[in-house]
Amino acid sequence: MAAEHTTKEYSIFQIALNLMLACFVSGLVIATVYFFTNPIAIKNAEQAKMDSMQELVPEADAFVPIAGQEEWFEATKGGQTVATVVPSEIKGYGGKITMLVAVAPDGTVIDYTILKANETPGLGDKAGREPFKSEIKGKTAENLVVTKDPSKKDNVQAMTGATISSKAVTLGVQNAVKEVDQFTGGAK
Amino acid sequence: MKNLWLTFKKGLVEENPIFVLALSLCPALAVTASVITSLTMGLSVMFVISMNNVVVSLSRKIVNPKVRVPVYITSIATIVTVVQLVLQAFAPALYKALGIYLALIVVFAIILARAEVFASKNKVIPSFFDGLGMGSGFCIALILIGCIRELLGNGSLLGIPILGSWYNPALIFILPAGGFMLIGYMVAGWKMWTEHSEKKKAERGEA
Amino acid sequence: MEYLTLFMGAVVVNNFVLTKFLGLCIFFGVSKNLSASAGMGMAVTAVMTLSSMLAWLVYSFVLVPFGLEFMKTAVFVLLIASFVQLLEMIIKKQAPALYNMWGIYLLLIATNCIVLAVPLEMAEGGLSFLMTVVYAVGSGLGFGLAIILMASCREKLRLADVPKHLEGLGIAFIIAGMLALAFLGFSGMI
Repeated sequence: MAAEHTTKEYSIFQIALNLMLACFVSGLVIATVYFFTNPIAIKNAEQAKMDSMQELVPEADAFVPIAGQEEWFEATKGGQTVATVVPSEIKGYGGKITMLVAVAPDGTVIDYTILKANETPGLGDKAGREPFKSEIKGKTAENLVVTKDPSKKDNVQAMTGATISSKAVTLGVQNAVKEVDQFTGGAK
Repeated sequence: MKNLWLTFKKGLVEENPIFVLALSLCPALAVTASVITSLTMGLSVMFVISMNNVVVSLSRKIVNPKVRVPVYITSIATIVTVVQLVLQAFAPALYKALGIYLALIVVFAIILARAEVFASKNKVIPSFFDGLGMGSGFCIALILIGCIRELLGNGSLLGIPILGSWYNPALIFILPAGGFMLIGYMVAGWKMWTEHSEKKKAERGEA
Repeated sequence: MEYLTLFMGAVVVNNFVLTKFLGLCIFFGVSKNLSASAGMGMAVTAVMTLSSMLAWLVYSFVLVPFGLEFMKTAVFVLLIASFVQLLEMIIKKQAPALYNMWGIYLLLIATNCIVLAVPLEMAEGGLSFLMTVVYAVGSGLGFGLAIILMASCREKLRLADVPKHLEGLGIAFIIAGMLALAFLGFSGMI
C-alpha cells in the first residue's frame, strides 16, 4: 500500500475509505443541523396552521381538535362553538385544490381559504379571493351551486373565464359543509 | 487584493453562469416568476457555491483524486440539505414556494464545475471569492429575470403592486412559455451588450 | 384509471421540460441533432425509470423506517450518480453496440435535475412503487417528446435567416417558449 511520489497508485481500500469518510462527515453535519432545526420547523408549522384558522374565524379564541376526525377543529369563543374548521380537497382545472373551510353551527359558510392550487393565474386563481369569496360566504350547502344566470342571487355566480375553477371550489366548499352537517347532525 | 476582485468580477459578467455559460438553467425559469423566490434561490445558490468552494479547497489535499467527484457531490448535497433544513425552520413559506427546485441545487453543473476547475486547485480565500462571484452573477441574473417577469406578468415587485390597476398583467410572463422567450431575448441582449462593450474597448485600445 | 391520469399528466400536461423546466441543459445541448435527440430521449427514459425504482426501494425500506427522510436529497443524488456509473460500466462491457449509441449521454444524465426530480416528487407525494414507475416512464417520454419536437424545429432553423444575436441559444429558447405555449393547451385535460 506504499504510495509512490511520482505516480500515485491508490488501493481500492484507500479510495473507499476516503469516500466513506466524506459520507460520514456529511451525515454528521446534516444530522446535527436537523437536530437543531426540526423542532423549530414543527413549531412554525403548527403556528402557521393556527394562524390560518384564526384568519378564517377571527372571533374565536381557541381551536380544539375534534376527536375521530383527522384535521378537524372546533373553533370556540368563551367555551361556545362558533365554527367547525375542516380541510377539503377537490380536483380543479390544473390539479388538486386543497382548502380550509370554516362552517358555522347553522350550516352556513363563514369563510374559506385555498391552501394549495394550480389554477390558471389571473383567471382560476381568483377563486381564493374577493369578489368570488363573497359569492360563497354565508351560503348553505344547498345554495352552493354554480350558476351563470345573474338573476339567481341565491346561488354562486361563476367567474368569467374560469367556470371549471369556480365549480371546483364551490363543490369543495359544499362537500365540506355537507360533511360538517352530517357530523354535527349525527352527534345531535 | 486586486486579484480577488478580478476573481469575483469574472463570475458577474464575462463568465456569468446563466447568460454566458448557460449552466443551471432549470431554476432560472422555474423560480423566477416572482422576485422573492428568485432572491431566495439566488442567495441559496450563492451560499452553496461559496461554501462548497471553501470546503473543496480546504480538503483538496486529503481528497483522493479518484473519488473526488463523488466527494464533491457529497459535500454539495450536505450544504444544500443544510440550507433546506434552515429554510424549512425559519422561512417555511419560501421553502414551500421553492419546492423541489431548492433540492435540485445539488445537481447544478456550475457548482461542480467551479469545484473541479478552481477550488480544487486554489487556496481557500480565492476559492471563496470565485464561488461568491459566480453565485452573485447567478443571483443577479435571477433577480433581473424575476423583476421583469413579476412586473410585466403581475404588475408587482416583491408582492407590492407597482403598476396600478390600469395595467392588465401580461400573464404569459409568469407562465413557462413567457419565461423561455424572455430568456431567449435576454441572452441575445447580453450578447449584444458584451459585443458592443468589447468593440468599444478595442477601439479605445487602438486609439 | 389513476395511472393513466398520472401518465398523461407526466407526458403532456406537466411536461418535465416545457412546464417544469427540468433537464434544460441536456435539452438545449442535444437538440441540435434529431437522431441524437431520439437517442437521448430513450436514454433519459431508461435511466429515469431504473433510478426511480432504486430510489423508491431505498426510500421506503431504509430512509422512512429509520426516520431519515431529511437525508433524501443527499442519498438520492449519490445513489443516482453511482447507479449511472455502474450502468455505464455494465453497458460498455455487455452491449458495446448500445454503448456506442448512447453511452456518452449517460454521464450527462447522471447529475441532471431531471433524473433527481422524479425521486424527490415521489418522496413528496408518497407515491407507490407502481405509480413511481408510471410517473418516471411518463416523464421520460415527455422529455423525449419535447426534445424531438425541439430538434425537428432546430434542424429546420439551419436553413432559416436568424438575426445574428439570436443565433444559437437565443432562438432555441424562443422556440422552446413557443412549444411551451402550445403545450399549455393541454392544461385542464386531466
